[in-house]
Amino acid sequence: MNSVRRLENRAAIEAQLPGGGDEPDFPSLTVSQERRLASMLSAHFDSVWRAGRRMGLSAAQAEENAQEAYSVVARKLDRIDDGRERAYLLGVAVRLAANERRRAASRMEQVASEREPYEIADALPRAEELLEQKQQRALLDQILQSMSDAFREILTLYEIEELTLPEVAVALEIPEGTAASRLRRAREEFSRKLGRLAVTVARGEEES
Amino acid sequence: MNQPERFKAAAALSPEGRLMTFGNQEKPDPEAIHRAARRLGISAAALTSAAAATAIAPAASAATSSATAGGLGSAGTVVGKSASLYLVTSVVKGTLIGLGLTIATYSSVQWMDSHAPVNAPSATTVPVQANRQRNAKAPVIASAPSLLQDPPPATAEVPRVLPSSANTAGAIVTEPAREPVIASIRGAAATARFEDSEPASLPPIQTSSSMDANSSSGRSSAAAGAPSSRSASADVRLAREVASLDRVRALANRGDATGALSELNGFGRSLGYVALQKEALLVHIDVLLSLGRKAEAIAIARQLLAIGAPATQRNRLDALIRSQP
Repeated sequence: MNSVRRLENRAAIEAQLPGGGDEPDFPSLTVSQERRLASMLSAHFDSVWRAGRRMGLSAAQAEENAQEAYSVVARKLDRIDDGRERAYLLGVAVRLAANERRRAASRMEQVASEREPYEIADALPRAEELLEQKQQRALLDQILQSMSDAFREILTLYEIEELTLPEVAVALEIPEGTAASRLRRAREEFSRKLGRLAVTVARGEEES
Repeated sequence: MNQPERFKAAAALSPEGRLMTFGNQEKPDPEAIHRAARRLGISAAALTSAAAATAIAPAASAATSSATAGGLGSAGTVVGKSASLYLVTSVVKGTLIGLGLTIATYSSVQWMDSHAPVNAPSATTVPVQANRQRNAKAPVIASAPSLLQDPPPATAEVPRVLPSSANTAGAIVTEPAREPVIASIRGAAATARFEDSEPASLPPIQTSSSMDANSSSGRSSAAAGAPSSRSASADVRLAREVASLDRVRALANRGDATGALSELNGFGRSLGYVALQKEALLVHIDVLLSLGRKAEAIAIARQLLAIGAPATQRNRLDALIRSQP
């Protein structure tokens, strides 16, 4: 991710957080802020990194994305309620990742080519190869990546990272009712895509 | 708002749930968090101390946010995940109830004080029950002086309450209230543990007694052990299962089906596949088929279908079983 694009992306996300994007680029943290941020880092870094992965970023990009998410949140630390940190972090992380994807759709092909070989070894892996955990995850990513950003975000936050619906609504800055209906549609689409893939796999099995 | 049931809640049955489960098992490079800390200007000491605190109560923040946003139902599920959380919750609830009782008692005493005659002793120096009894038996003015002479009854229901900021009676009155609270939380924790636990025990790949023993002892220790260590041990176990299946597949891909079978049987005997049991059974079928041991493969296929084979595999397994002469 080049630095100019990254800063633009971050500014866009920061502008959506309470207080806008008027903070200095690298705020100096007080002791209590450092402690709180360290605690957030320790408790939620894996989730934030995974959110980037599920949104279609490579491992290295997901790490960069997580760092960006934390630096965005670090500027707004005093404005984030206790207990809402995870929702904010994940919301920022998925939006950063989605913005990045939208901004550089063509670059996503590059992203795919940087992935681990097992993930692109076969666009339609043989059924028995789906056994392995990594390949199950690749299948999950394959389906998620064929969905819209809105659906992918809500499935990542609700189904994978297990935020509650109100937390998802906060993270995505949408009303709860919208979150619920979006989730329902996302789940239906996910099931449909998975079912279609299963049929294709079974057909391939029979043919072979 | 009612939470829709997550796909994962039916992980044993739905392919969607299984996939979602795999979605949050991935972890970043262990050094990544340190790189992020350095970039954010967080000292190593602060991170270490935060990590230690997180290790002690890994579910505390999740429970807090769930309880805040998701209501008691989801909080109850989270309770079972951490012994420290359980302790903190019980202490907080006990204290709150104790505080409530203290306030109620204090209010009633204040009320009685305000309704007592001017020359009557303050409730701050008189047992409440005795005061109530005396007040009920005789006119207030007549009974009031005798109260000072009588010793307080040994079985007073409510201890003396001092209406000052340094009141310590809260600790006394909270004690009787804590036990039911703790019991109810224990019940909730037990329920949550049950709900969070893996799907009902599946038949092992090898029906060896050692594996059964492993499985049952594992479950009983999980039930009795600290919930916080449970998730860590589950991660370790899952990692071992993944590594074992990786080894099996690598061997099978190299054409060493005997070695793959040996790995499957060895791991099955020592630890047993739990989280990846269905995957292990499927690999086992393939390995047996590659060794030409079709009858055994079919037996395992039947077993797998009985416990719920993945949707993508059912046709293949059915076809395998039908091919039996």
